[in-house]
Amino acid sequence: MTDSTPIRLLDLAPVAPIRSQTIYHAVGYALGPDSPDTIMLVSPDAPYVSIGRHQDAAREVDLDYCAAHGYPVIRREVGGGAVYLDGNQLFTQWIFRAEHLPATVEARFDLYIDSLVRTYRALGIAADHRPINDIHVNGRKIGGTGAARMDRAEVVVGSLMFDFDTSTMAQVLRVPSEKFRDKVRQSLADYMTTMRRELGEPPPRADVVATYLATCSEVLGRTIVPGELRADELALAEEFDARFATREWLEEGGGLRRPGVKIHEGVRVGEGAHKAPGGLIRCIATVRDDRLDDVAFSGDFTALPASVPNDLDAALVGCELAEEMLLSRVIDYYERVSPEIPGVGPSDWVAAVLQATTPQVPA
Amino acid sequence: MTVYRGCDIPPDLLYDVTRDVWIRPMPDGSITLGMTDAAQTRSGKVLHIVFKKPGRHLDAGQSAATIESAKWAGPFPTPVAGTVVETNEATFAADVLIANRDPYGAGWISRLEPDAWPAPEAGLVTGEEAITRYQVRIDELALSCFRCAD
Repeated sequence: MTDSTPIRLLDLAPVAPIRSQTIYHAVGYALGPDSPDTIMLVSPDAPYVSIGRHQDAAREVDLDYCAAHGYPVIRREVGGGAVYLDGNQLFTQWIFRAEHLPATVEARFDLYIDSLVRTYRALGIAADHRPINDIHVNGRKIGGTGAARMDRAEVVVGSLMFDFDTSTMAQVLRVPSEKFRDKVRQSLADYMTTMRRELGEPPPRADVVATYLATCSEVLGRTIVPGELRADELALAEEFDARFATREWLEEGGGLRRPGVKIHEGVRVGEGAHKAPGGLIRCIATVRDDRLDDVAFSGDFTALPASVPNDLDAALVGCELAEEMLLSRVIDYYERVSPEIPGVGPSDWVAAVLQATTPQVPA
Repeated sequence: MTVYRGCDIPPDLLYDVTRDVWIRPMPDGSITLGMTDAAQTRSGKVLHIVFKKPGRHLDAGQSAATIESAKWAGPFPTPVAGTVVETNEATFAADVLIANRDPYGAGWISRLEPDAWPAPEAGLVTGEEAITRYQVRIDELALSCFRCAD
C-alpha cells in the first residue's frame, strides 16, 4: 500500500446537499491510472438526510416530514444508516487508489480514524477509536464513518463534527411511535457529542482543517498538495447530481433493514412486542454495551398496582442482556411486590425485552 | 487444496486475481462466479446483497451484485461478459453469511452464460499460476484470511 506521490487536496466551498454526496462518487469513479489520491473537504450549504446504499428510504425515513421541512433525502453508495447532515459537519472524504490503502476494511478504518482521532486530540478533545469504525469521547460518539469501493477507488468517508442537531436527527427517522422517537432523541443527546459540546465553542474551521491536514500527512507519510477538480470529475458529478435526484435512485434500496436505531457502536434503541395470554406487552429498550440502559413497557395487559410497568422498568435498568439475569430480576420483583397481572408471568416480560433487543443481523 | 496465510486458493478454479473473483466452468457451458477467500475477508461479514436479475446482460467489469458488509459497500464484478442465468439469492436469503463461510461452494454469487468462452482477454489464471499470483497479491496486501465460524 505504500506510495510516495503527493495527495491532492480538494478543500471545497460549501456545496448543495446533493453535490456534497455526488462529488466524492464522481472523483471515485473518475479515478484513472494517472489520477492522484484525493482528500476532499466539503460541507453542505443546507440540511439534508443521507441514507445507506441498501436502505429502504420509505421505511427508514419520515419522508413527509423531510418534504415539509425541505430536507432532500439522498441515497449514497456507502453503506450504513440514515443520518441528518448540515453545514455543521465537515466531511472528510478519502478517495484513494485501492492499492494505496490497506487491504481490509478494518485496517482502512484504523488508518482513516487515526487521522480524525489525532486531530480531535490536537484540538483538546479526548477522542478514541472504538473499533470498527466509531470515534468516541468518554463513551459518546463524535461522528460516523463509512467505506465503499467505486471502480478503482476505495473510498472512506466521515466527518469532523463541529455541531450536530440531535433533535432533528430524531425527527427525520421513521419510527414506530412517538414514544420510541423520544427514546431515540434522548439516546442521541446522551451518547453523541461534538466539538461544541466538548469545547463550549468549536474552533475556527481554518484551524481544524490545518490540524487535520497536518495529521493526515503524518499518518499517511505523504505530502498533501492543494489541487482542483478536473473537468471530467465535474462532468461526472453533474451526471450523478441528476441520477441521485431521481425517484428511481432513491427507491433502489434493496430492502436492507436493521431493526431499531443504532446510536453508536455500543448503543442501540429497539422495540419489540410479546403476546402473553394476558395481553400484548410492548417494550422499548435502549441497550448499552450489552446492558439495559433504559426500558419502557406498555401494552393492553391489566396490572395491579398500576405502577408495575414503571417498577419493572426501574428493576431492569442496568441488567445484563441475558435471559436468566433478566428473569431473575423480574422474579425478584414478583416475589417482593406480588403484583396481580392476569395471564402475564415473569417470562413474558423477559420475552418482550428480548424481542426488542435481539440482534437480527450480524454486528 | 492450497492455503496461503489462511487464504484458500483451490487450484481447479479460474481466477481474476485483481478483481478477487473465481470462476467455475459448468458442464452446460455456463460459468459460476463467486468471491474468493481474500475477497470475503477483505469485505468482512456480508450484511446484504442485491443481485442483477437473470436475463440481464453484463459487460466485463460490470457489477453482477452489490454487496454491503457491516462496514463497507461495493460491487461484485464479473471478469467476463455474459448474461445472468441464475443467482444464489435464495441461499443468501437463508444465510447471508454463506460467502463468509463457504466462498467456493454454497456461497457462489451468480451463474452467467458467457458471450464467449474461453475468454483469453479476461486474463484468467488457474492452477499453479493462480496460486503463485495470489501468493504475491496476498503478500502485497499483507492479508490473512478468516472465515465466519458461526
